[in-house]
Amino acid sequence: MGNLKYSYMTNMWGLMVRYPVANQWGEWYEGDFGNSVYYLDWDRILRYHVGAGFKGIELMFHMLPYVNEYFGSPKAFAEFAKERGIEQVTGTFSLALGSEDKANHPAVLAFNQKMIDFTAELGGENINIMPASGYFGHGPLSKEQLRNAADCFNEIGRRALDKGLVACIHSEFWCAVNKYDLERFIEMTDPKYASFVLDTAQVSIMGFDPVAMYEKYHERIKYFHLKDTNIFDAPDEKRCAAGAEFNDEGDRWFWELGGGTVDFPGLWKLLKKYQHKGWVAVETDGTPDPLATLVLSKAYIDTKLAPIYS
Amino acid sequence: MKIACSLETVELKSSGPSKLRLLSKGYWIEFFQWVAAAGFTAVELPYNPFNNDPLAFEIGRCGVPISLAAVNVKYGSPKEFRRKLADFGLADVSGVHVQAVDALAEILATDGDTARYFGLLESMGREAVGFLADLGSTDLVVSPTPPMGLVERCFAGGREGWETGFLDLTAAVLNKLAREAKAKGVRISVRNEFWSLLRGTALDAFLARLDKEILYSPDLSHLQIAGDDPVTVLKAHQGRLASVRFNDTFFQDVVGNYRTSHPEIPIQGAQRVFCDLGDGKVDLRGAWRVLADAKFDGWVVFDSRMTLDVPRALLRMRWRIDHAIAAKA
Repeated sequence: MGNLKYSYMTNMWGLMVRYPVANQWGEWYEGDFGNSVYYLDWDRILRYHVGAGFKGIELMFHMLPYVNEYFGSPKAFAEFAKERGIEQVTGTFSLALGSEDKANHPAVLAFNQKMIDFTAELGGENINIMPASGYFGHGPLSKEQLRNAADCFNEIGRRALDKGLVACIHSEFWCAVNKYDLERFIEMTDPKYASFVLDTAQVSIMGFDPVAMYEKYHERIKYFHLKDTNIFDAPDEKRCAAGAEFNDEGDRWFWELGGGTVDFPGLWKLLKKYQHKGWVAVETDGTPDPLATLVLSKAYIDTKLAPIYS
Repeated sequence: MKIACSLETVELKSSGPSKLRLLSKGYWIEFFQWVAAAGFTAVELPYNPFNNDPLAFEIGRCGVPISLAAVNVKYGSPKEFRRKLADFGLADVSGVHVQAVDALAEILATDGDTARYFGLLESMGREAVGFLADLGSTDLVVSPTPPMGLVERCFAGGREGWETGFLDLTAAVLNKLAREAKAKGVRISVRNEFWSLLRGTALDAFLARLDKEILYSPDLSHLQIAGDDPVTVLKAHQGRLASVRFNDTFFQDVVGNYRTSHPEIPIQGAQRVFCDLGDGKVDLRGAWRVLADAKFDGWVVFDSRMTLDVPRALLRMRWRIDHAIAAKA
């Protein structure tokens, strides 16, 4: 049994996967004669993960109503995944939009309580949370707004801990908590309730070296979103534009592991140094071909990173 | 007859290769060029002003022109958006389509307080009317109820006859909106769905309760799935049509899927509810003839919902319109 186990965030397949199981191949293939039928249902998509060697998955916040509607309960979804070889739904991604304004805290906490309950019922360990609104229309945040967001995160983290979950700050290059105040925000939160998920591409795009960041914050970093990028320290006007993550021209911010310039071998040496153990996740939203990216990422892990530490 | 293409031909809420590119402005700029290249000069737009429903949030923060906020942020303003469409060869916007289910989804994503539903429905309609007026367009098409399974779950409360009260309030909202819309040069019509509380003949009774200015915009596939003959329905409502949606289906709802809260994503049996125009069993040519014989001068809106290949669907639509649907016998 190795030290690291690999999970994959499932947001790269589309806004939503429509069907639990696509029942009839022919109704989609006949007359179409394309490969779309391979991407329509959770049944196949989960089996791709297992086939590539990923035994964990993560779910987006979108999935809460979907899971309840189409599977009946989070537990039933986890069972469905287990039957296909997924050992664990390791965690979820949530949002604390508006947390910079105290007046919004009741609604933000209510939303995240639902996500905490959802994650716990799935059998997850982590809940990764964008800590405030998007930068466009909301940033930069004042010291008071940053304090409000930190207080809100601490409360979410406390509630998560009550359910045995680790709440992690998930930095987004387009979030109102941005490059100039991310570290201050981390310091404003309580380490007992607020861990940090190191999203290697998101921090790179903001201008942080993810390896140096892990060295500095390894005690706070309990989880990883591994994704590659070839953009380091993007200019403010590009990072903070409206809907920045969906580039107007459709260009990619994020790549499969090994497809960009992130120093993953350097990070792996530190994982070894600090003897990190447990699930680490790959997240590669925006790829034009999720299946190719899934397999390429695992090949990179197996051939380039596992020899360093596994 | 005037011909438009519905943007609902692009299925946003699905998975597949390059699906997230559908959320970029660049995709839509290219899509509008494809639409024009396929010989269309007008489009119908879907409209959803909400942000808290998770999927609405994701769509709203990107390049999909689905609300006033999205259009303002990514295209400048409704007027500038309209100018851009014209630059691509799309001179007209036939109308905007709002769905009552989006108001309910917003509530379910937040506090779950269904008492807010009719207020949200009204505010959604009012915002869409304003958007249409800013666009310089005239037709607001409303899908008036969420799926009956979802409505029942949220509003029935174990009471007999709850539907009457629900539809009374729906009619009141639509009548109020129609009066406000008229002052802005916008008219309202209702669209049928096979899963609606107004499925089948229930819509006829509902239309009778609406102000005369509120028209009917039938969707041929939904009629077919509900077991109604689209040609007969068009003939029956000739004097009250605003626009007609031409689309296709071979779906047969043999398991009573229409009663569920997710009727367009069946779990049991067949699952492809819609198909590319011309691939299904709707009598599109017969429907066209009814309209041609009646010298219908409104919009005919084409779509190929759930297509797996958007550019090909656009080309198929054009060929089938020219050579099969509208061709002289």
